Parts: sequence; C-alpha cells; structure tokens
Amino acid sequence: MTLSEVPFSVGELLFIGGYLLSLLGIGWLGMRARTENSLRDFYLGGRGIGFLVLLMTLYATQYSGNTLFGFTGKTYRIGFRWAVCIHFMTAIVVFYLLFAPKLYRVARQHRFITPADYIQHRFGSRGLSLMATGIMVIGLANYLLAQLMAMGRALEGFTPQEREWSYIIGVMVLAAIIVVYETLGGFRAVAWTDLIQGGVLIIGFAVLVFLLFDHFGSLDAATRKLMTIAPEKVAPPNTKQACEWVSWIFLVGIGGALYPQAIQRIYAAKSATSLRKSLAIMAFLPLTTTLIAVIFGVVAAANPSSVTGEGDEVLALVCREIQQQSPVGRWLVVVLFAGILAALMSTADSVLLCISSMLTKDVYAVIYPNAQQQQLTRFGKICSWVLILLAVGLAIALREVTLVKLLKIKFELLLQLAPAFFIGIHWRGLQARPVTVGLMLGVVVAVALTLTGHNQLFGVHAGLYGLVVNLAAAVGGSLVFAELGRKGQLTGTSLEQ
Amino acid sequence: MKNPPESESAYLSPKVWGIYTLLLTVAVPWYWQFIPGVACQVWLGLPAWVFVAVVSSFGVSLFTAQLLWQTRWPDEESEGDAEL
Repeated sequence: MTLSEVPFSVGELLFIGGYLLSLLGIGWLGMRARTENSLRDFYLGGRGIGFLVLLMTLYATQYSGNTLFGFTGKTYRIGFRWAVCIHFMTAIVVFYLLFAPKLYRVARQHRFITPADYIQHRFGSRGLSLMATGIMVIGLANYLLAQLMAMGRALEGFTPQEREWSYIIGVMVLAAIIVVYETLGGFRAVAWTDLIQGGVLIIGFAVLVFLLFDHFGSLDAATRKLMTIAPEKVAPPNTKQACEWVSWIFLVGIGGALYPQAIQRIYAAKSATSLRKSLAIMAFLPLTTTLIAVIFGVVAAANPSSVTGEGDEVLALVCREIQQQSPVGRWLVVVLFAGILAALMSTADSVLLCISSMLTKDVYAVIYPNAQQQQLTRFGKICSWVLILLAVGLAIALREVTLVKLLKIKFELLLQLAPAFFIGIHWRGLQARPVTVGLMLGVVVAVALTLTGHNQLFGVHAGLYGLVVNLAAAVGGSLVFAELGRKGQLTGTSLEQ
Repeated sequence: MKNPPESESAYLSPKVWGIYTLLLTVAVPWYWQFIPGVACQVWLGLPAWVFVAVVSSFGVSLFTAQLLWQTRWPDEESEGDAEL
C-alpha cells in the first residue's frame, strides 16, 4: 500500500503536476541568476545564500522522506521508544557547535567547495582527502538510490493493476525533473527549490497533526488505549535499550553533522550571522517534525482496527481513510503527498549535486589540474546526468530488494570522518598519517561488524566501535609521532590554518 | 598554535559540555525502569518518561539556540551583517 493508492482526481493530480513543474521554473531562474561559469558559482551559489534560504535548505536536506515514512512506521512498530529520533535530530545541531564556526571561517578564507578541500588544506595529504571523498561518495550514493526507490514506491499505487510501470515511470519522471533543474541552476536551483520544498514539508507536517487528531481523537486517549492493547509500546526502555538511545544519539548526531551536503551548506552561507541564526532555529525543528512523526505512529498503533499495515506504509493507510471522509480531507492528503515528494526530492537533489561536486573537484580536477572552470562545470553537469542514469537504472533493477543494510551503513561510514573535522579543526597536533590509519581502521571495523550482522553490539552501533578504534589510532598515533618528532626522528605534517 | 577566538572557544568550554551531559542524563530514560508506576502515568497525553524526554529535548534545543544566538562569531565583526 502506498500513498498514491489513495485515488486522486484529475484536479488533484494537476495540482501535484503544477508543483513539480514549478521546480523546473526555479531551475531556470537559478540559471538566469548565475554570475559566472565557475565551480564555486555552480556548486555553492557564488557569494552564498542568506538566512531564510540557508535555513530551509538545511531543513529540507536533513529531513528526508524517511522522516515521514520511516519514523512513523518505526514508531508504529516499537512505540514510544522511537522518541529517541527527537534527540538524535537535535544532536546534529549540537555537534555542529564543535566545528562549524571555525570551518566556516577557514572555508571562506580558502574558498573551499567540497568537504575534501578542508581535509586537503588541513592535512596536506592527497591520499587522505581521496579516501575521505571515497567514503562520502559511497555513503551518499546509496542514500541517493534509496531516495529514488522511495519516490517510485510513493507513486507505484497510481495504477494498482500495473504497479511496476508506475514505479518505473515515477522514478524516471521525478529523477528527470531533479537533474534538469539542478543542471540548469546548480546550487542556487537546489537551494531555492529547497525553500519551496522545505515550506511544503512544514505545511505537510502541520497537516499531519490536523488530520491525526481530527480522525483519531486526542493523544491522551491514544496513549491510554495503547497502554491496554500493547503495553510494551508504552513501557520505558530497559538498560540495554537506554544504551541504544545513547548510541543512536551519537551515531546520527555526529554522522548527520558530517553529511557532505550539509558541510557544503556551511561553506555556502553568505555570512556567519546567517549560518549561526539558521542553526539556532534548526535546533527546534525536531520538535515540529520528528515529534509529530512519533505522535502519528503512536496514534496509528493505538488504532489497529483502522490501520492494518505493518510498517512504513502506515502513513499511506491512515491517509486513505482520511481522504475517503471529506473533500477537505482529500485536499489535505494532496498537500501531504506533495510534502512527501518534496522531502524525497530535496534530499535527492542535494545528494546528487554533492556527489557531482566531489567527483569533479576532488577527482577530475586532481587528474586534470589545468582544466578550465568552464570545463570543470561541464564535467560536473555530465557527472550529474551519468549518476542519475545509473541511480535510476539501479532503482528499477533493485525494485524488490531491501536496502536497509546499505542505508544503515551510511552513518557508520560518515562517522569515521569525525576526528578529521571535530579534532583536526582545533588541534594542529593531529597528523595526516595517524588520521589516515584511523580512518581505514574505523571503516574496516564498522563495515565488518555491520556486514556480519552485528549492526549493534550490547546496544552500541558498529560505527561507534569503529570510531573508538579510529580515534585511538588518530590521536594516539599523532601523540607518538609528535614525541618521536621532538626526538628528531620524524617531522610533523600540519598546515597553517 | 594561537588560541581560538573567544566566540569559537565558547562552544568548547567544559561548562557547556557539562550542561549537555546533564541534559543527556535526564533526556535518556534509563532511570524510569526503576519507577515503573510513575513512568507510565500520562502527562499531557504522553507517558511521564516520554514527557520528560521531550521536555529535556526542548531544554537542549533552548540551550543550543541560546548559545548560538548570543555568541557572535569572529567573521561577523567584519562582514557588516548584510542579511536576508
């Protein structure tokens, strides 16, 4: 069951189609606003973006379709224990405090475009920056794939008799819209569409609250009912589950702060003031977004006679019921559907642009150091098209495959960049070789544990075990190297910041 | 190495992270299993342990926003704040 199985009228479909076409118009406006044909203009919007656009693009990028589908579904399955998602989304902003102010300053001084620009500048090691790029590209590539597959699933119910064709056409059409507006306007188009998409997403969540309480009654009644029919979904966590909470907070808090596309938004801020104020507002958004998803999941779980689904489809099932009740309900569901598409597309476009920038700046420009800006920009656009074609092909080929394991590994990988960003930005004693070794060890530990089915050990995620090993190697190794250096046996490798 | 400018180091102070640790200790509901009778009372529609977790999360948001709102970054002195 998908949301599109809720039957939409022609007028409602036209509304959704108009919304999608408006994104292409914004891409065209982004192209018109271009000031120069350079990588910085294409990938960071030239002189940068102000407070409102920055806030909305950060919001739309951090909150994906998973927030709507995944979090409601997870709460439906395990109950209030998934309230941890409020904490880990808040933790992302907290972890920005550790590095964003200084990274912003250094990035402006040295005109960084990609996260690896910082790594290269700080550590002066091409091997380390290439490795970091590889980890980020792998982490983001499966995220892009997952967004495209979620788009297909969101649309596959339009023709219940031929779900496969709806899925395929849905993936192709939405991917085409994304790549067209992105190629036209680059970062400006992505950020401006995020402004619209973020707005639609916020309205979507507000609609969700209204629909929920209108249809099912108060939260108080739902909680009391759940206590009777499924008390385990209301019970507080035991010690192991509390450990899982802490693990989730650190895993997503650190990993989310190190999203490469979010780091690029730090670079793209027009001023420190706009970045600082955007982050201040971002600190409250989990309470207006993930808390609503949790409440939705709980209320649905308390009404199992209405909701028969077993997971991520719970949102669609509830919407179908609401849609059948009144014309107002129908239109509210249409707005919510647009919000879901917005959530998926805004994440996918940011990820696509970010991967394209890393392949262009960190790989192609290194191989061809004399390439002109126009040539690099052209290569970046070609990259976007090739990437989206590959991702669409995979999304279609893997339609029946669950990518849960691949998705989970995204944070486990990104987490391993924490020493380089969190510590390296402040402590010049952190050296390239120990960081490289730590990164490799951290990735090996995290991937090995995850792929052998040990995603969590004693309630702690595999990536955090990797991070401990990584930190020990990076910090311990740097201290040893420094000591040896003092004895004249080795020299350090750190750069001026 | 030079000391970081005041506003950058303000976020790194032990006091700030001590407060975060305190908030985390309250926000993670590890202690409610020992008082199950209170844990499952309903406060404003939520089980008591969830209510406290949400209020703690709001506390973290408020503290973070206050830190960000009140502390100017070094670049702001020179950039003139041409905003919005």
